[in-house]
Amino acid sequence: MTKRPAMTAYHPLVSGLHFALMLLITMLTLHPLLLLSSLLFASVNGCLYYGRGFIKRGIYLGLSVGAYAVCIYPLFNHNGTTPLFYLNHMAVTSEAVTYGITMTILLITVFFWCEVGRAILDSERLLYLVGRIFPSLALMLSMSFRFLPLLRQRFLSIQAAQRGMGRRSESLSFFMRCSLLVKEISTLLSQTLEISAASSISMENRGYGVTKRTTYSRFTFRKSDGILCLIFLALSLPILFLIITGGFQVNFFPDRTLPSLTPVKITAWLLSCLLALFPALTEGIHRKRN
Amino acid sequence: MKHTILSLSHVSFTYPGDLTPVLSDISLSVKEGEIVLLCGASGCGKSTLLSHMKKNQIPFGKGSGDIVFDGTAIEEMSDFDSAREIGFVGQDPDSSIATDQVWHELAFGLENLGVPTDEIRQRIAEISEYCGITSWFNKNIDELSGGQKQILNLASVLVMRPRLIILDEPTSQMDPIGVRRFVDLIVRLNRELGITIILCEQHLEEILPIADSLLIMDQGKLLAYGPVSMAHKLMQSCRDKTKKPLAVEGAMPSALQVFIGHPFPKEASASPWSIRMGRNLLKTYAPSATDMGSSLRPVRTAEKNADASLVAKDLCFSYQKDLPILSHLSLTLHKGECYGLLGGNGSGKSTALKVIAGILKKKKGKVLSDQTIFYLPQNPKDLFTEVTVEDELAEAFWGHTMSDSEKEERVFYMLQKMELTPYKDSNPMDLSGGQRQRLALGKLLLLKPDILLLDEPTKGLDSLFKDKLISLLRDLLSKQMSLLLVSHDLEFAARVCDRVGLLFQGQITSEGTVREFFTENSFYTTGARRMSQNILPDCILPEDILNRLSRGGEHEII
Repeated sequence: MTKRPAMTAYHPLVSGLHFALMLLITMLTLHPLLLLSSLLFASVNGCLYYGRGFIKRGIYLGLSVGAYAVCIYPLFNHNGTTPLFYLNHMAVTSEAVTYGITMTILLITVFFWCEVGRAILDSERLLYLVGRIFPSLALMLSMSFRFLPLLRQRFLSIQAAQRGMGRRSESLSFFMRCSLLVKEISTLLSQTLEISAASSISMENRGYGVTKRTTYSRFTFRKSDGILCLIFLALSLPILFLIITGGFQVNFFPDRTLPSLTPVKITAWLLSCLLALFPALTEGIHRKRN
Repeated sequence: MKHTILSLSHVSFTYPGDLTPVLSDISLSVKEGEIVLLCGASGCGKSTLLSHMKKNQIPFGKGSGDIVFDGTAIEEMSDFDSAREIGFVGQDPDSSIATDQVWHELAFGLENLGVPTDEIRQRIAEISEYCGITSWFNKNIDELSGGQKQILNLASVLVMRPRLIILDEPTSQMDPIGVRRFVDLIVRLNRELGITIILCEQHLEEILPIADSLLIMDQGKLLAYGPVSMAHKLMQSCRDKTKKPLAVEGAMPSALQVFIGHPFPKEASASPWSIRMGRNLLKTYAPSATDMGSSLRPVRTAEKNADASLVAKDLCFSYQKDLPILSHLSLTLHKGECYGLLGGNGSGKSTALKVIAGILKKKKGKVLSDQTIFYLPQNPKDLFTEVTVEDELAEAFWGHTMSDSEKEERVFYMLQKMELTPYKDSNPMDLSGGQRQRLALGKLLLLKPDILLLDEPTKGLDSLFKDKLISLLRDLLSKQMSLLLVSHDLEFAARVCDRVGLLFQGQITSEGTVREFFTENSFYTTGARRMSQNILPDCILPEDILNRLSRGGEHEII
């Protein structure tokens, strides 16, 4: 990732809402128009954040999932009415292949949105969102993020100490190597206990458990954040309503059917496109200004 | 008359299962706005005394006496008040930090007290500016240096606006630059905000000059308590009481050591504790510059033509590309020689040791040696895998074929040599810093290495243990073992090394015998040298100055 995404200027609730809405719209439907546009916008956002290598990763994922969904899945699902060829007297149908392709695209799209979400919602923002719901879980996570690197560093220095005594794992038998590892882990364990005891004292010293905690975050929810959330809802509610009421219902088996597109549906879709493009738009404006 | 903020009367304490008390009949009172320095050998009860000053830290055991903070007994303070009004910072910067981000650590205490978010925001901004944290405010904790972590620990206590701060050996794990920054911050807190500070420390060169009062403890008893300007008298009265030299004397600033060691007319003046005061003292009383032969304590110099036991040539190493830690480092270690590798923080000293020991893989260069090289890690605990000291030593023979009786015999001998026999059934983790260091050293020595590499061997040791370590190392040198050590502690290096080298930007930029090195440098040198520079030649340790004074100036002074 090159720079901090421009979306980070908004409150995490804004980006969290955007992420959740995009996932909903993508996952609730298999309509090709919605799916392909969602894929397109997710890639645009992703490329802005990660550069072109982003697409490459998507293609690799697509190929590996596609290999299963397009080539193998149809061999086992024989529903559908248009046989392409027969294998062991069983029809391999064009419907099953289409379904495989659609599912692959859906998966890549979800993966892309998750990557976009990850770029905007770094650990601090994610932790904030989690902390809104479960405050103590958020503190626990924050403590683990502190603890794991510390343990890793301690383990490296324990290994260095053992090597410094002339115990080189390269020159040891497999059995001895395992036994050395057990020794290293036991040293790590006793140090870990010591560290935890000391940190619990230090937490108590600073009043942990004295009264009900507040959960501090560095984010302030401004009026503009509230307005953005309302806009997001306004852009997404029409299409969500249509999807849920079956307006974009696609069938694959036994026959492929696509619902007809009415002007209302097209308008709702265009609105959702605006929503999907929002990160890219803010990013563009931000980069132009600087 | 200043307001008394903390008073202890007849405080005694015994840990459960122990017969002798850790603290016996301690009474003292601390005035608001003072910096009180508590010193004593390790294991004398300093930490136990400090932990009695904060409610949640009072240990389990049999205690008596009263401790009163600002009119309220410590035990009766509410948890809320205790957390807010009395701050405590321990010695290990790593384990005191609870969360993963600098900003979160600062907010942690206030979150606990239920302070509203807007107020937290304002308070951590203020503290971050005051403590100079702002430039690394957005960092993760694991990107910080040890010194920064300790400043963060102090700041995360300060943010709760305590009236009293207790510091338990806060700088023992830090390098000299970190120590100076930390000490500066303490001084500002005290002078600008009037916060009362009680601290204990092993190395006093930096701390003593800023303290107002000095408390000296020995074996659970308070031997002396008084203003720092009377330090020499306090120490004299302690000596009279215990009839033996005090463990803390070796840790005192060089100026004070010289002042105490030489019969100056003491009644006339206050104790000198800074280099400047020491220089004034020497200028007044130093013998005239005539008759100054150079028969000072001879520095051991390894025979020049002795065989080299280790030659490192053009060592290069880096963790990341384009960021070389070592670039073409070369050094030669002779048989029976002690070589000290000095240098600032991040100069690559420890890395150099690890590369020479073969723990890290060198990128370029050669290490030529046909002898066994062992490495003593900075944290001796990293070597410990067993639950008793005796087993720990025996564990050294893991993978060696040897009869049990021979093992036992060698372990028995090593226990005696390292003075650990009384502790042979204790858990290595329960030992004091100095005992742990000796245990780790003993464990390595059982395997009879020819070359020993020591990484910061004096970290966290008091001066008594340091002296023991020095005599142990001297003994090894006399048996033709070669030592290569890395240290921040210049006084220690000046005492034990034959030659020293300065590591700068990945290579050794200057090198020489200890005396050459420390007398040629004027900034990066020992306190005694800075004090005697241009006044007395060739002095790098307080003993040297004392020698000079007693030989040259008898007729003038006594």
